Amino acid sequence: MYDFDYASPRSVREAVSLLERRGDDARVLSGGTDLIVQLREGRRKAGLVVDIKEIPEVNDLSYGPRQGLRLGAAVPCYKIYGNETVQKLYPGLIDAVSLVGGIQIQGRATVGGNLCNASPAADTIPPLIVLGAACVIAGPQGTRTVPVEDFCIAPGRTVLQRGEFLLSLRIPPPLKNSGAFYLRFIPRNEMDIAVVGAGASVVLGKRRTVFVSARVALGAVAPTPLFVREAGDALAEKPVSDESIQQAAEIARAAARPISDMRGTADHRRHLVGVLTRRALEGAIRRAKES
Amino acid sequence: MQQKMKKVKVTIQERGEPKEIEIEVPDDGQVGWGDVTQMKHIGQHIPRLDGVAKVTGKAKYTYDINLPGLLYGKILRSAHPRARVVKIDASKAMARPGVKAVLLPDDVKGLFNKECRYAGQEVAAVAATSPDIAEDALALIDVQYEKLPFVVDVDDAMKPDAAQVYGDRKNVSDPRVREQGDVAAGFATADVVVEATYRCQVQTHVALETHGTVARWDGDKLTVWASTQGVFSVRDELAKYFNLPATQVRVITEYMGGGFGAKFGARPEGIIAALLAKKAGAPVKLMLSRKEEHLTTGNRPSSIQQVKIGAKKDGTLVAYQRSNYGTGGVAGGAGIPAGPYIYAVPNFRVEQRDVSTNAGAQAAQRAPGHPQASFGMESVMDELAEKLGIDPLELRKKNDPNKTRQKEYDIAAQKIGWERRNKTPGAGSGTKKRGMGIGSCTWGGGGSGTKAQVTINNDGSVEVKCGTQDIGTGTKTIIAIITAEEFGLSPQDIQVRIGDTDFPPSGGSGGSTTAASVSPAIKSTTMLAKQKLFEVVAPKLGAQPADLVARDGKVFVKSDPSKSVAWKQATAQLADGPITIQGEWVAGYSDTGVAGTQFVEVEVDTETGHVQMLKVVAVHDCGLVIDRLTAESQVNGGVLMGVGYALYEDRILDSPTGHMVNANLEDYKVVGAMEVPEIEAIFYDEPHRGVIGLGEPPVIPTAGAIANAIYNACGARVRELPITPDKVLTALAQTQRKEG
Repeated sequence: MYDFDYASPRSVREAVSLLERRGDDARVLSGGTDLIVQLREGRRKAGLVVDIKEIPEVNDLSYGPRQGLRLGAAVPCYKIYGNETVQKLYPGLIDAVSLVGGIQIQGRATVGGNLCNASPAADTIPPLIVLGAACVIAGPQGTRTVPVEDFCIAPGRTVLQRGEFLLSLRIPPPLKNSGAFYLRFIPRNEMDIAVVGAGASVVLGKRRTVFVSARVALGAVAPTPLFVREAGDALAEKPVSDESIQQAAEIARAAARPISDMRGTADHRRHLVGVLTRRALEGAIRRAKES
Repeated sequence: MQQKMKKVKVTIQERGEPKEIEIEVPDDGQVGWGDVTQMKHIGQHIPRLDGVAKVTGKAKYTYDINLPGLLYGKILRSAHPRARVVKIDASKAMARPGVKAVLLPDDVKGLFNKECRYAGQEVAAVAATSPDIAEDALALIDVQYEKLPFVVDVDDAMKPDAAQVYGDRKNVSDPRVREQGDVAAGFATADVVVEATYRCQVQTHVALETHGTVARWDGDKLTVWASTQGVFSVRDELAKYFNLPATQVRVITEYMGGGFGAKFGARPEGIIAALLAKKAGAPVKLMLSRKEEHLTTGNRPSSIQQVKIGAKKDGTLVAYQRSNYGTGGVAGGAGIPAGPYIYAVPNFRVEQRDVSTNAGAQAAQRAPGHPQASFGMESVMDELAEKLGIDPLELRKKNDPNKTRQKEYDIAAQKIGWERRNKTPGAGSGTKKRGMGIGSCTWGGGGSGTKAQVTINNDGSVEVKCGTQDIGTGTKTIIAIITAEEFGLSPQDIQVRIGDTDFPPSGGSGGSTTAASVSPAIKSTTMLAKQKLFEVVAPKLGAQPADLVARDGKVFVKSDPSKSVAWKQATAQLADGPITIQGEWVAGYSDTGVAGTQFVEVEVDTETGHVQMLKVVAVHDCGLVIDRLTAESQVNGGVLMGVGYALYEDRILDSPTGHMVNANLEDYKVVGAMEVPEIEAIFYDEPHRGVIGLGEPPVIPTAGAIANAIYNACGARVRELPITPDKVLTALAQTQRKEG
């Protein structure tokens, strides 16, 4: 690995100013589980690595009944699944953070980093999308907010502009009778990159027999994590039944644009989208009923 | 007096192909190990003595060797699958501060080849003051390649218009044929015939510790720390290369992290390390990266078997035909055992073709050829059983001539609950389905040619020296166990020193021969040393040496245990100083030829194709078990390597570019902790046969058993390894189409 400069700013302003000055030559470091490996293998270049972990805002993990969850960009996975409020209110997010990498990786890896790495197969992005999460981005002009589903624009690329970095994520408070679920398919049982990932969230009616609304998002079947709005919309006002779930799964299957690579064939991926979407919806419904 | 001889069978490698031959060894009529029921340590569960040192990091592997002024070596490797080095300019690399030596093709004879035949072949090397500088320097070497046509896919390589891997010969070897009886006549009498093609991928070794060497010159004396399965083979190769007497080269391997057949001899990287050290005038450490490990250090060749088998209605096999081809890359054959694997078939014909491709050369890998053969045979046996309407277990028992395995079948069937299995494959409701399958194996595993030295000091301390190496199998521990048993001490009391060519010579650790080579040498040497001690002690106890026993830390008279001295009192009487005895391997304490069977249970998610291993019952014989715990470890390791082979591992070469696309551990998938099934290792004890090796057998039957279990679970017959989820689903869809 070649040498690079390292900076550890203490404030958002300081970080923004460094990033603005160095532009593409600078890379943001939080857990480092992607960045360091990429630098070592020459897949990314950086003259300056900006470690944001000393900035207070990026370490925030707090919940309020109005504002929902504030998840700082540098909060590692283990802190998230160790948090009782998140466990209780956002089990769909717990699904994802507890299967990123292995135990050691989860001690360092962050949801913010997973998002900024912008892998189509990132495990935390589909659940963030179905939970309606938004990205709070800090930059030279102050902060702006972007829905998670609009954050990634291509493999490894995001909407972040020169001088900007991801400050935190906002996840709205869970509605009544709602639930979310994420699962993925991998050939082994851990430590693999998703062949397909599927997240779903549902809001059910008072009697929990009808869908009020639903959201479905997929991983590893398009250049970016895929929000399949029409699959969720198709469930609105439909009865909670195998048939309606299957219909939504079919829509997701049709929306997927998978490729064949060494991790899976396009046919297998498309098939898995149907199976996993159904299972994700079933999981989300189970949670909504238990809520 | 003429030495009495006896014949034993051993497995050797001939042109990359395992072959069983008969050799003569001295038969001294020894009674063997004696009454095992009276043994205190042998056959017990004894934790390995160096376990704590290993897990705490105290154990020093080659990677951990640091010397004053140490430099770091790195190898520049061919960037193309087939190319000619036209020009190479290292002036920028040499000018880089910190670079201390550069080796180019023209600098050294017979090491680098300007004709690069696979992506990863050695082109040049550097030594520098840090690994980063060395890496930097590689990038500064300017190589001009003339790119040439190549082929990496085994089937492409067989086409008439394929690029030739070697200019002077075809990619496909002439077939080697072995025949017995009359195959056509055999098939004519068959009531049922099954024909199918089975494919096995290329698997790499993936030892935890990569290949590597630390080399230091002191004048004309070369000392080398190497991650090797054979310290003496490294010494002899280096001595030959540098034209030095063997006495001037010392090779040390105190600890090593696995080899599985790919770590014999100095290998190019070992010679390069020594050359760099010589040129730089400083010690050099050269450890390969995981990527280099996948590309260049060996692999298990692929296998494509076109099989036809015929049987009578009652299941009696009458004819077998197999045509196998596979690739060992640029060198080495792809042979599998030449005959119907383990089952008796009166009429057979097998053909073998080796196919050259522009890929790294194969190397022996844990039971060379056997897992491929077993997968093909066990799969077709299951397909035959179904066509015949016979229980797969019954079909095996009917055609397996091995008496040990006959008993092992019953043990395994009972342990796994064979009667619980699906009687109709794929039966049952739900999306997750369970099934069971069988696979079996045979191996040689005999020993020979080891010398050892035992010292009993006046203070009672005991040291054993033997130039074998512990490749992770527990050799150090079994040496201590055998010595302790002989002297009536505890294994912890024995100082074992191995892995050094300064010690009495022993062979390489391959072919499951180490335990059967080392144990008899230790037994005979410690017996001689004990005899010496008894000769000194006997008069003081008023007895003959033959009447004495060493046990529980004492030496006493067998007929009157009250006449005794503590071990330390006994050794204090050694007036002539310590006893030092050299002994060697003798016949009578080891044997060759083992049989094993493995029954597995799996669960298949029929919607995703995911296979979950549930249980493996592994029944093996290995004669006398010295340490039951290390023996169980061998079974665990073999089974897991077999699971990886069956379900996950695959060296993927990209046909258009000729490069390996998964030369890492992210996409080259080995078994992880979450994939480990319950493994029940059961030993069919045959102590009267003496010690027989066990390292290889447990890997062999695993893939075939898993394939059969998947079929039993869900009705999907996958004839190609690794059995990935998409293959399971494709096979399931075909089954459903057939039914529908």
